[in-house]
Formats: sequence, C-alpha cells, structure tokens
Amino acid sequence: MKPSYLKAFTIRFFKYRLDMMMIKRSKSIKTGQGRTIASFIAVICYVASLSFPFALYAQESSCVECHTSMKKLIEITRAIEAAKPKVKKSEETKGEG
Amino acid sequence: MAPLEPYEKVYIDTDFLDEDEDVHGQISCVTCHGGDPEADEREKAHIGLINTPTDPDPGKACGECHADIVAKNGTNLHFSLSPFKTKIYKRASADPAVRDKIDTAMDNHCMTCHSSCGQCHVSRPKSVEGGLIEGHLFQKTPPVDTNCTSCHGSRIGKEFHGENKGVKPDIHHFKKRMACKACHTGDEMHGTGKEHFDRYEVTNRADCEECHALGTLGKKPEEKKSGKYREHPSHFIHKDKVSCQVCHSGSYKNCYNCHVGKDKAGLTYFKTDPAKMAFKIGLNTNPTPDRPEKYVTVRHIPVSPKLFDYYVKDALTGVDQAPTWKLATPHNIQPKTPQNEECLACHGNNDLFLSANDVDSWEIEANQEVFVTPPPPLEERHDWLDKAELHLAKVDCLTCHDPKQKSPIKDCCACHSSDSILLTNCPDDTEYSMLSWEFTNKELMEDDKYVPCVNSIPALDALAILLVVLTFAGCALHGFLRFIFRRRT
Repeated sequence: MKPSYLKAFTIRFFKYRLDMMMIKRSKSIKTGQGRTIASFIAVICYVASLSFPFALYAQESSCVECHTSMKKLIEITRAIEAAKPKVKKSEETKGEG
Repeated sequence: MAPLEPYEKVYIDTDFLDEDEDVHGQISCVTCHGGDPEADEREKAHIGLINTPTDPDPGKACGECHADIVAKNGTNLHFSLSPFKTKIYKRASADPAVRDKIDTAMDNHCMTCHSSCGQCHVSRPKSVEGGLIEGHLFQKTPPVDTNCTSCHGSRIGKEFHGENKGVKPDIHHFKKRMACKACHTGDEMHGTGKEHFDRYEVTNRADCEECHALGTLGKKPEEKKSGKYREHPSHFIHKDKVSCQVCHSGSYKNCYNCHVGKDKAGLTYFKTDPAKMAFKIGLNTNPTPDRPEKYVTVRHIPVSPKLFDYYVKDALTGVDQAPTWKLATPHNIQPKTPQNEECLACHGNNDLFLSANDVDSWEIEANQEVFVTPPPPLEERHDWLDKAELHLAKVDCLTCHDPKQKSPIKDCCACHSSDSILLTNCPDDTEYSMLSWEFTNKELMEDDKYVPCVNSIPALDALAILLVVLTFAGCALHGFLRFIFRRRT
C-alpha cells in the first residue's frame, strides 16, 4: 500500500480515537487539566501516526533498496556470479531450434 | 539475442513504484515473491523467495485482479504447449513404458519453450535466460524483440523482419510498422478455455479478413474494415479455395531431421539438419468452416523417426500417422509475389505443389493427404480449342474464365462474332470498350489482342469503303471524261 494512504488512514484513525476520548473525558472532567492531558495524548498520537506508516513501508523497502540501486546490484551479482558454477550449454547442439 | 547482464535481470526501475506508471508497483514485493523483507542479510532475505510467481500457478499472483484470464490459463497454448504433445503422441508408440520415456525427453527439450504470465509481461522467457524487461514495469503488450521473437525467432521473426536472404519483410511490418499484437490479440494469447489439438483450432486466432475485405467483386463492402480494401478478380475466384498465403507469401524456412539427447556432461542438446528455404503448396488436411481452403502453404517440420532415439528406440513407430509437411502461415506477406504475377505462375507450375518427389521415402505415406495430384497440362485441358497454344499464349485467362460467370466460356462465338464480348468488356479494365470513340487499333495491336471477326473500327470501315467508292468514282469519271474528249477530237 502506498505510504500516503497509510498515513492518511492512521491520522484519521487516531483523530477518531482522540475525538472519542475527548467526548468521554469532557463528560467527566471539564477542567483545563483534562484538556491538557488530551492535547498531550493528541500530540503523541500524531507523532506516532507519522512514524507508523513509514515503519510499515520500510519493511518492504529493504527489497526495493537493493533492487533499485544499480551500483549495489552490480557488486552483488558479480559476487554471486563468481561464486556460482557457470551453466554450460552443450557443444553438441547444432542447427536452429 | 544476447542475454542480459546479471544485474539487469533483477534491476527494478523506480518508476515501477510510481502508482501512475504501474499499478502493480503498489503491491508489496512479498505478496508475489515471498522472502523475508525484515532480514538484514541478502541470503536470509531471499529464503523462501519465489522467482517466478506466475509459473506454474498464476492464481495467487495474478488471479485476484485478472481472474478471467487466469481461469483460462490451462488452455493457453503458450503455457500448456499441448499441441507439441498431441502431435508427438499421434506418431508415438502406444507402449506406456515408451510413452514415459517420450514424456521425459519432451520435458527435457520440447517443453522448455513454455511461457507464463510473467515471462510475457514482466520478464524475458526462461528459455532465453530470463531477466526483467523495462525494470519490472509490467508490459500490457509483450515487446516483440525481447519476448515474442525470442521464442518465435528463427522462422516467424526472420520472415516478418525480412532477415531471410532474398525475401522481403512482411508488408505489415515494413510499411505499416505493425507489431505482433495488431493481429494476435491478448484474447488469442490467453487461451479460449477449451483444449485445442493445435493452434489453428483456436477460434479467435489472427484472421486476414478481420481487416481486409476480399472477394466482393466490384462492390465495396458495407462493413468498414481497417485494412486496405483489395478489389481483385483473383480474390473472388480463389476465395475459400486457396489460402491468402498461397498467393501472398514468399519463400520460408523449413526444418528437417531433429534429434535430441544429452551429452557426456549431462547437458541437453538438439541437432537439426540445415534449414532450407522453400515455398510449397499442399492440400489442407483439415478443412473447417473457419479455414475451408483446399490449397494452403505447407512447411516441413523437424520431426524424424529417430527424434527420441537417445531416450528410447522406436519411439515414433507411427511416424506416418501425421504429415511432416503441415499447414503454415508464413509471416512474409507481400502484395506482389512471383506466384501471383499471372495465372500461369501457379496453374501449370507443378514445382510449387508438394509431391512425393519433395519428400524422403519414409515420409511418403505420412504426406499422402497433403500431396497435390498434378492436373493434366494446360494444353491438354484446353485441347477442345482450335489453336489451343495460340489461345493460351494470346488470350488473357480471365476473358474465358470470367469470375462473373459460373463456368468458363466455351462458346467460340462469344468472342468471334460481330457482337463479341470483347467489344465491350476486357478483363484488364471494365471501362474498356472498342466501341468508344477514343479507342484506336494501337492498343489492340500492341497487346496482341487482335481477334478475327471482331476488331473492326466502324470509322475505319467507313473510310475504307469511301476510299473504294472514290477509287471507282475516279475511274468512272476518268473514263467518262476521256470518252467526252475523244468524241470532240
């Protein structure tokens, strides 16, 4: 999934949770302290929401990181080719296939 | 085709990850390829890696979005290669032990040309050492050079691109720059859901008449076709009797005497005799409503009785059960070819037609249904005519074999009379008329088309009569004047 979608989804999810918490808390604590706690939680959630989708994408990016880097691939494939026995083709083959 | 460098085979273009470039790049790598993306080391990350997620079963990788195509995949001839087996089995010994060995041989050799979804749309085929095409960007239409002709190269590719010495490339390629997909649609490639004996049984295969309207004789077709409209009497005459390639293809490659085995190192090999360029017309052994033609182009296939001798002796005990010259559709189509220059290029030219003289002794029985029995010589068939040789040399075939008539004209008076059909109709030009004021004898004499009893021009006739009358009148006047003057003297 594209990171931007994950990010949007996470932000919406945590905002929803925050709204619910605010409603619950506003029923019980209608003081400035309650709003401060809620704001603190909101900030924590927001920061987490930013890092969460990237953390998911990073799992995949280990594949992408190597396979999109020509330099890395050249180095790795050279090493692999050197270690690997060469696949030979029979010299007895004659004519067109 | 040169194989890719090892790094090129696995290099992914970053465009692949852009949703606007390729929606497939939005699917996580592990969904199709497995492996362990959390591992720190390359070796560990590749544990459980699936190199070819679409082979043998494309269900998991492609099925979610392309269910209809995946459902038919078993009948996709590129995937199943079933005609290879059906045709070999037709010739093979019925002994199950022998069949097992034939299967092993075919798996080692023939079936390695097999393809899959990925080997057409994402990577090069395995038979040419694979490797991603376009940095893993999915290709809706497989590229011709890296994919289609990497397997269909020696015959079809070379024909189409004009790489056979002395034979022009296919007109669809060099004039219209058409690629394989223009005729061979995705639907055809993906199978029909039905098992087929060979590729010519596939109902949605390429068909010339999909684009070209033929055999309408003077009437433009109501249905508009994308290809060039080809009005020609030959299309009307030969429609459903002769395949398009018989008149419009050039020489093509024929392969002989293949046998397969393994060398001392255990590596598989094949050996074939040198290919020969030839053009042969044979009988259609399996006329169908889709392909009703009696005469078709035929190509020699590389089968031989000793094909599988390395694996098992006498494997093809029924080698005479199927022809070695089989229906072919060469891909070097030309509007003008040596065989369509004139009627007699084919009619009476027995060298073009497959006969027992063209095959080895062991092939004679196998090709009995393909051989064309030569018709009697043209002179013999036209011996009812007075001066047959003169007529054959001077008269255009279509004058008597008029496509508008159900049968050829055999009445001499149709031509040799004062109301001859030649006065108003000529096969070369429907506007041609000797009664026209613009007509002069020049055209007639130049083309050697003088026909006794017919070719008189009324104006010339009147002039000749006038000259004769004037001559007589002059003589009479001369006599009369002399008579007058003699009397006076």
